[in-house]
Amino acid sequence: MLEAFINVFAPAPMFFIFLGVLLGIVVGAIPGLGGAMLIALLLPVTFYMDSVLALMLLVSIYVGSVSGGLITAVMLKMPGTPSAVMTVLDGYPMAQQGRAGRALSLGIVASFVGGIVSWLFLALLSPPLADFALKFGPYELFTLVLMALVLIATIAEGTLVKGLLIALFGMAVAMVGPDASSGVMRLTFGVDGFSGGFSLLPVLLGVFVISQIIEDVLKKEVPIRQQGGKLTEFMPSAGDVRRHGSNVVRSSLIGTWIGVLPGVGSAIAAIVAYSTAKSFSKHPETFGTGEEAWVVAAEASNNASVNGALIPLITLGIPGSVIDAILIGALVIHNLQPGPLLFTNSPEIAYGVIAAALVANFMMAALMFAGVRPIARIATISRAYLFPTIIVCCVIGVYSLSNSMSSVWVMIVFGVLGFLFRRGGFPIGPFVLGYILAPLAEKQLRSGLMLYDGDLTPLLTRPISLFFVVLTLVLAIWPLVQARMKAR
Amino acid sequence: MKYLIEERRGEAICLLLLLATGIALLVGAAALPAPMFDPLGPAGLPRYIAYLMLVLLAVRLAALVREVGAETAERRRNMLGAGERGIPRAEGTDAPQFVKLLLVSLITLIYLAALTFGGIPFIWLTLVFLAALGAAMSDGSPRRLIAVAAIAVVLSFALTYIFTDVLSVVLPE
Repeated sequence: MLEAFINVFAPAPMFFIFLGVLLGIVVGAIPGLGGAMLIALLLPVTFYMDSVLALMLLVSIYVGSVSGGLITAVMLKMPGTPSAVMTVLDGYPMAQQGRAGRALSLGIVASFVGGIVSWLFLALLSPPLADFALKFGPYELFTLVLMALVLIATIAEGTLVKGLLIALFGMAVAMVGPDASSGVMRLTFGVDGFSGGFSLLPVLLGVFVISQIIEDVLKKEVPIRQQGGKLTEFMPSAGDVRRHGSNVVRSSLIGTWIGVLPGVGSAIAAIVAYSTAKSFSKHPETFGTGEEAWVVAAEASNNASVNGALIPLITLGIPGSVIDAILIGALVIHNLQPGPLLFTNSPEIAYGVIAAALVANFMMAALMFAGVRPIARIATISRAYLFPTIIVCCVIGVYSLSNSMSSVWVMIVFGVLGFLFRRGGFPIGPFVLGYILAPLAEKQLRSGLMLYDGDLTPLLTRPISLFFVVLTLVLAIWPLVQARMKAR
Repeated sequence: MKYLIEERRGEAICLLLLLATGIALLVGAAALPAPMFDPLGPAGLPRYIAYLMLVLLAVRLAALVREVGAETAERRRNMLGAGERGIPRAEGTDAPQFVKLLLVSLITLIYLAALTFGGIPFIWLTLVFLAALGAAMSDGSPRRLIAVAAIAVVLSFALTYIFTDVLSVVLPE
């Protein structure tokens, strides 16, 4: 760990962390774009970079993008990212009351503290958790992936059935191409273009970037007005620590815990922390009127969820959020195996990510304090300038990895599919996680079957896999029980 | 079915797509060889995914029919109560925005087709694409069109330089 920290302070890592945080804050601030989009877009560029630097850049974008939403939420009444949705509710009223500076400073400090609290968990829990995970056999890993998939489908927006259906569709897409165990070509239907399967990058860029552009083109572009006034009261005082200290710590812990849960993400963390802060408040009626506590709760928790989500990513190879699923893709592109062996085989990556997450958090706070006004201005850039550039970058990125235009067409097809699913009310997150996790689930299940001579009973006799099976069943059945109880 | 298509068109299309995927998985799995090294074999997981998809599709379809039935009954009740006022239509997409999407799609498809078939250098094709797409997405004001043209020139040269000379990426020719 110490070595990773010494390395991270070299000029190159510092430059990429700075660049990542800056880019992340900017895309996080621009409504319609987001961290997932930028990270997917930059994946092909990182292919030409050193693995450690590439991962540092991507993790820094992640940290920056969750924070950037605060600026536009407060100053433009537009959540740049879904995680800033709750910040708008009280952040913008504060700006209208002439307290934009106050809302921003509290939000930045809360984000920073949230990041630090969750980083402590990341740094302290990850190595022992990875050691523990090394004891997992194939059935334990299979049931863990199964639980992650069900959890993702349960929590995703829309119904449980829709979430499960789209996750299964993602798994089906991952099945196309050579079977990893036998080398047999699967589901290619005689089409040569399918023989390599659907690569990660065209699928990701299609469902995240192209589908979002189609969706945004269908919406009318409205001119964005910035909340005026001077950014006074910009630095928090000692009194703020007394007033908001417990709220920040509580929200940070909530954010960390929710981040650890597979596929849940920062938006849910903000909603839960906001609701919890409300239930603890003596004046819940002030909700939505420009109350500082709500801004603090939402921002501390959404930033805390970033480091929380990195814990299952680097210890188990299970994505804590959609962005983490893309980060798993980045590891795979760099020929690295996400999971407990990362600490053993590539410690420079595992500890590098942990060190970069901390440094990125400091840079985020510094950049946000320094660049509120210009970043808010960037967020008003017309899409007539942005979207064509993004499409060209997608084309170059996908083409460069395969030297073939067929991958570009695959990206377009997945873009249209992503758009259709969005329109049909299907969440995109479970699709990506199903696509990423299916090969892992299949590999572990088949290894387990080979190990136990085709016997499935160890799924229920081994304590850890039994625990995950029971948890999976509870997660799948609970929404149905809840619906029944509501109906009564 | 009429209401299902009118009001739930988006979801109905997705369910059809998922149904087609489920059937394709079953057909594809049937053509795969028997298991060689493990009891599941290459066809195992695709087949189970297909079964699960079909069961869940049936569940969702049943729920959808129930929901649409309830909405239709509600609509009829409201129609009787509201008389001539009727019920406002569900929020849809503006026609001009839809035309804009068609235009954007057409420009993008032409660009990609030109890159696929080759013949025109990437830099010039990208310059024209950036300018045309930017103009199609803009509000048409002269100021914005000039900015779009300037950005197209700068970006096409800058992107080509960065990717070919700095990152040594082979671009479509």
